[in-house]
Amino acid sequence: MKPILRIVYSSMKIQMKQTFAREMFRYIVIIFPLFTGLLMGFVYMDKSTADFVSYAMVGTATMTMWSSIAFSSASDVQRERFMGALAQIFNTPEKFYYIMLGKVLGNTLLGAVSMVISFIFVGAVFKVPINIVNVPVFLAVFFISVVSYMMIAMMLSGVLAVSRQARTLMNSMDYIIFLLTGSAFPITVLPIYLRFFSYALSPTYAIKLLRLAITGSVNTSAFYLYFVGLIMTTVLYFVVSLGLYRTIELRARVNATLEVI
Amino acid sequence: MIEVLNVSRSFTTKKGIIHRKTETMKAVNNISFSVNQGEIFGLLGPNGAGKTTTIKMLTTLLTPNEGKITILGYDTVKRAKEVQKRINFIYGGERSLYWRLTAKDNLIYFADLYNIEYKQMQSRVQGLLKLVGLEKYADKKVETFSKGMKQRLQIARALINDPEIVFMDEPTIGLDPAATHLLHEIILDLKTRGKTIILTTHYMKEAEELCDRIAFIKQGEIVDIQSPSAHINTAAKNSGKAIKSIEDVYMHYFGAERGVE
Repeated sequence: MKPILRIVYSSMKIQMKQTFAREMFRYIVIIFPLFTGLLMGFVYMDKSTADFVSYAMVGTATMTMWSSIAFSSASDVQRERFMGALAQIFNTPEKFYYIMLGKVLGNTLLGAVSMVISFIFVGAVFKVPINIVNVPVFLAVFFISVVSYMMIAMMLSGVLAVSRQARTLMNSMDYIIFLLTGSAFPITVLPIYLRFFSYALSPTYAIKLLRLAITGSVNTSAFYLYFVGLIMTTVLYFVVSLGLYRTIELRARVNATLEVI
Repeated sequence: MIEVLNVSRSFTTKKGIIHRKTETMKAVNNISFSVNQGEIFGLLGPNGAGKTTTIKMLTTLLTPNEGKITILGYDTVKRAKEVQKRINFIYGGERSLYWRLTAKDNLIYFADLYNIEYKQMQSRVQGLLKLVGLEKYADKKVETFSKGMKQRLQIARALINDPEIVFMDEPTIGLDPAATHLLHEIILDLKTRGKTIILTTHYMKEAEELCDRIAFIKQGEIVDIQSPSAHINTAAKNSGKAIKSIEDVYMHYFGAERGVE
């Protein structure tokens, strides 16, 4: 195995082992998606099937995915800092970016499990048939969305590595994403100045695209527009995360932010 | 092997919520010393003297504000990755390990991060577990270990990349006599294999027995560097008192500031 793949794979494996060893894992991966799904299901049970699928099923699934990937990944930096392991892994000869990428990938796989659980659970409980009209497009969009979420997680974990205060930001990010990306309600109800932020967030495009793939409306101009939006924001996040990790290599050593004290 | 030239390091902290005040504390002030291959070099001084900051700069975890550190010919700031391949470090206490993983998982992960060849990895991990007397506990989670066992595992982790230089910051803190004895044996064994050890400790007898040379550090500045016997002779000559051990030398340098004559 090539060194980079080895680092990513090894970090992913360790991350998943640690997650399975934590009691909170059952809550994040299984319980939280089920409760969120039930909540959203009851909110949208009297609405049209299209709305139910859009918000109760796709919305919940993407929310749980987001919580698992981004929130867990960023929290891991803080956890490793308190354990004293952050300085240890940072000081190995391999690039910190690849180590963190492996950890984020581990959370992504678990997030994907959450997503599938919530999607199937909500459909089954509220007796809504899971009917994805365009499966190949759905899978392609799902894959790109997962990559995009990973890049957000990389940015957040990077910020946390250089700043101990970023924990506060992280705790509020969960709901900001839910509110701004249209996972629980259409973003058209938001004030125009807030919608600007919505369109800077890739989950907004991911959710719209997944809905269009489910309903089969993939040959519309809106689909291509959202697709370009998803790709562009993902590339932007990737570039920003790379830049962030380059500065981390220096700033963490200058500002001594890798440890608790 | 290690060259430290006119190195200083300060830390800046901000206080207050509305009227933010910046305070700068100089932890290390213009220190210079060199360490030879195969030497056990002690850094002694009271809490807050700058020992750990010095170790962190030497291990590339912190950048100096001024001066230059060269390890094995590599600048610790410009060629940090080259330095990291060839060194490793242990901090006293129970941190720096993944508690929810087994001892073996911890070592395998760090072997991956140091890109140890697969062929060597299993035998090295087994060998190190045997070296620190943990081979029977290879598959036990670290959280079930005693403090001494965790510290022994840290030693094994620090030797995973067969480093040329090992930095040990208070490695015997809180260990029972048997565990301390084992660590001393490992340190002396490393020396016979040509490894260089940088050691900080508050146990003067330990420093006197193990170190080839000792640097006393006070308020971020080096007071004197000599062999233990030379320190004893110099302190006896300067003080006119009966100084028979490194502990007496320590009290000669630092006793007055602690209110001890």
